[in-house]
Amino acid sequence: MNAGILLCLVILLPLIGGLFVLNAKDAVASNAKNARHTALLTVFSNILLILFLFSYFKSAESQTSGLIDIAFVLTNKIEFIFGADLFALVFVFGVQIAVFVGVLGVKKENQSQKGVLFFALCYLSMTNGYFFARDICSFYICFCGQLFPLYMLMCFANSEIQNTKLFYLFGHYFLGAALLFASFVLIMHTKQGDVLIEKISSVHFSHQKSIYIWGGIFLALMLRMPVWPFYHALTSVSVKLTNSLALIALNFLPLSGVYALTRYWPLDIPVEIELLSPIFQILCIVTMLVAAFGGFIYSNTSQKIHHYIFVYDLLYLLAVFLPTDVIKMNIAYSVFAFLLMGSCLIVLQSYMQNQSLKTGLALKGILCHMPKASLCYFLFVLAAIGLPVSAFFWNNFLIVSEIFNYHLYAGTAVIFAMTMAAVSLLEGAYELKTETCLPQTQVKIKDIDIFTFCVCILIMSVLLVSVVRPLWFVF
Amino acid sequence: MIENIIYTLSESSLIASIVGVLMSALFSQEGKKTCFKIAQIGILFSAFFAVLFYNKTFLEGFFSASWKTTLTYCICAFSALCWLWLSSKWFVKQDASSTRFCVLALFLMFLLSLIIKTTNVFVLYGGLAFLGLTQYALLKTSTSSESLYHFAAKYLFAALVCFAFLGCALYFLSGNSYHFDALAAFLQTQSALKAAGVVLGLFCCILFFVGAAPFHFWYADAVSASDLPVGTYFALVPNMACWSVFLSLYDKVFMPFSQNLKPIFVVFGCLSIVLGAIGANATRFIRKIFSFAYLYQLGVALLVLSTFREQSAFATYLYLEVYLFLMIGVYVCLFGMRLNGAHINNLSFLKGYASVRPYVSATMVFYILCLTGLPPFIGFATQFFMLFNVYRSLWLLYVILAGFLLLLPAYFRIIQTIYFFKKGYHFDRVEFGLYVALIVHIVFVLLLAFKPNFFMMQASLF
Repeated sequence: MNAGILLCLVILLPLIGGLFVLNAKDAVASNAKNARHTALLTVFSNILLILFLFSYFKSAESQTSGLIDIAFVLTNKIEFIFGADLFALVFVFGVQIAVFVGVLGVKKENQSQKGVLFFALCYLSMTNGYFFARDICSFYICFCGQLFPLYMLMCFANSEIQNTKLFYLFGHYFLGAALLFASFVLIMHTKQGDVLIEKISSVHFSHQKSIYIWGGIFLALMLRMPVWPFYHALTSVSVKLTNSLALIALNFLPLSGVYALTRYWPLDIPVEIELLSPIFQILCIVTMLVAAFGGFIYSNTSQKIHHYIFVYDLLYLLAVFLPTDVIKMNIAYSVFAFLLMGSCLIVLQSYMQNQSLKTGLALKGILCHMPKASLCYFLFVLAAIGLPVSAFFWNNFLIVSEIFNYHLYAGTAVIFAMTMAAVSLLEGAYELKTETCLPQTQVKIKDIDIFTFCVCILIMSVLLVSVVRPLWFVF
Repeated sequence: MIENIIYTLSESSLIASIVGVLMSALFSQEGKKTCFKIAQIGILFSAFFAVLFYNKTFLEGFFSASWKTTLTYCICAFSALCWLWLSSKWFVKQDASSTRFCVLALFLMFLLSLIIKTTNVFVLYGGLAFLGLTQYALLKTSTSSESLYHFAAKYLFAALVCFAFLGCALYFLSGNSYHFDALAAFLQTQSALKAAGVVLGLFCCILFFVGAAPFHFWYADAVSASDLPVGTYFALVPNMACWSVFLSLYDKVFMPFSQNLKPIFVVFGCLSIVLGAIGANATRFIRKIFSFAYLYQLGVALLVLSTFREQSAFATYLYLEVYLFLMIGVYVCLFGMRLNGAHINNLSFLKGYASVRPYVSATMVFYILCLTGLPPFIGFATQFFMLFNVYRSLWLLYVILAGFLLLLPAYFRIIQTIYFFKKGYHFDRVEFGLYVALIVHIVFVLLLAFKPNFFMMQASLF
């Protein structure tokens, strides 16, 4: 089959699946979960399609330079171009698996989750489009198109989130979208038409214009990652959410900014913007430290996980700022492992939270009654703190060493923040497993079902073998 | 002579319909629906004749017809047909007399037809004066609130002040300078004060009817506080006609004074954007939110016009055309949203509406998304193409985007109330006809999204 068509299918399939989800019959009384099954099938099909797409990059040569392209001529000035290289595919594959795990986590909710699933699939579709977009027009459409489904997802998942916090967070994201729009209009106006993103740097702009354009793009992508003093909006919204799918979508949105910066940020940007780069690096490091301390201070385990995720998001952002392109694929492999681990941790955590709410018992010691969940949780925590049991370890090692190479103090601060995040994660795991246990016989706490357990073990196996070869399952 | 009479068929079919409505009220027992049917047939015929003689007109020194005027009139006629169709449902439910309403509707269409075609400032002045008075009469048909009478009086007073100002300015004109084409040349030979008086008189008078800031004070109340059919008229029907006249003046009269008018365009545009965005956030009345959002759109259009570029007028025309087309869908939804027989205007009464009427709610959200200008919806395409083609000043672009960010919470608040608040009321059933109307409208919107050139007259903007 034509690879370009496959690429389009990967983008559109979640959207089509979403429409089926809306029409699926869900009866709470009879425990019918058709919507969820449809969503699972959709995401699983997408995973298979992506695995198939990987086969186009089998040769060593195409792994580095290969690109699948497809173009749609909309008007004589606009042409949507979607393309995939290995870097994009790794990101997309990780996101699909994360969403698959997230949909699994939706299982135990009491009410019909059609709205959540529909908007999650819309979000997934836009995210896939975003990762594959190669021209500025389709890139902006997908960049902005991610936000509304995410907003609806947040509201469907928990309508009790305070409006102010939600508006604050999304105001932040939409501000980024507006800045990108301004840059987008300027580029289109200068070029009098659509342009490939990697070719933007070769378009000649006046000095002032180029500052506005690159400044806009830079800030738009940066605003995907709320750095200090805005970071609190993201974590405070996350804490209110118990729906795993919404949590996964929200926590991994910042990675889309990292992706775009890694892929498209040119080395020869205007000096004025380049001068700003150290300021943002400092902000990143400060936020990293604050987030790491935040995770350490909170006793709530879910807070610890959100802070941990945020610390690693910022690590990737710092890696992007490094004046080198050699660790590009390392970032991709690390993000892939991070997505898998993070999503599993979030799903297990929200499952435990839901059980705790259902039974009215505290989270402390809850894992004593859930042997399967306990096994999975601890395996993922061990991988997440950086033990050499996944590709996460090697690739992070390289990223951190590059940061050290660039700046000693920055590297030290990063190591310190990562250690703090790891310790707080371990502390949280200890809390969940501590033997001050709950009254054993009075309440029956349900463990995760066998299917979820198998999926977790499978993901752990993928991670484990990836120590040797990150993409062993395709190459 | 006969030719001239034939070319008046578009207007005379409206006059004939007025007679028909009056006759039906006098002699027929059929009731409200007959009046509406006659009015709709009259407008349909009027639009048909307008298309048939799209470049012909009577009294050529005073009026002129082109594809632009015909298109504008067709848009107005289409909006009017939708408005009357929706209003007929309201009148049947309220069991109120519709004769006066229908007569006024037809007369308003007659005036709009003249205003769109006119090329003479005195005809324009007369047309606008009659339009102001007829709109005042229409406002007075509303029975929903006592305060509306005071508001209508205020509206009349403001309109009279505008006319007095414009009248004084036009007093200085003489010779063959009444025609739009000759007016600018004539004014350039006059003293600066005289020229400024005439240009500003025309400018402010039209902006008053369009509802742009700082003359916007009447618009939100006219849309929100009046009865739903009256509010729908102000939201859908006259806007495009008045905007078309404004653009015609922009091309022929304002353009030579671009250097002097630019700051006024910018100030009024910025004011409209800011007041629109803040006003939309400050109110809890859903129709008012949309009317303030319209104010924001006008502000954007004025800022774009302030660049005085070749394609500015056409780009803003398309922008408002699509905007008003989407507003028709919004109003179909609003006619469907009822609680205990009354149409809902206060956002608080819409809590949890989606759990009871999911399709209408989903459609409303769809329209809101289109109106916000977020991609990949159609509002984005028009907004983008307008800014792309007329971009010149960076700070104007940032002002527009800042206004957009300010306005966004107001739109999202509607979505949040409909979807994410617990159901508080038992909402009435939505009529089957409204569902059909929504489906047809959505099909057109999707067509517009996938094939924008089809609706936008193969616009060279693309």
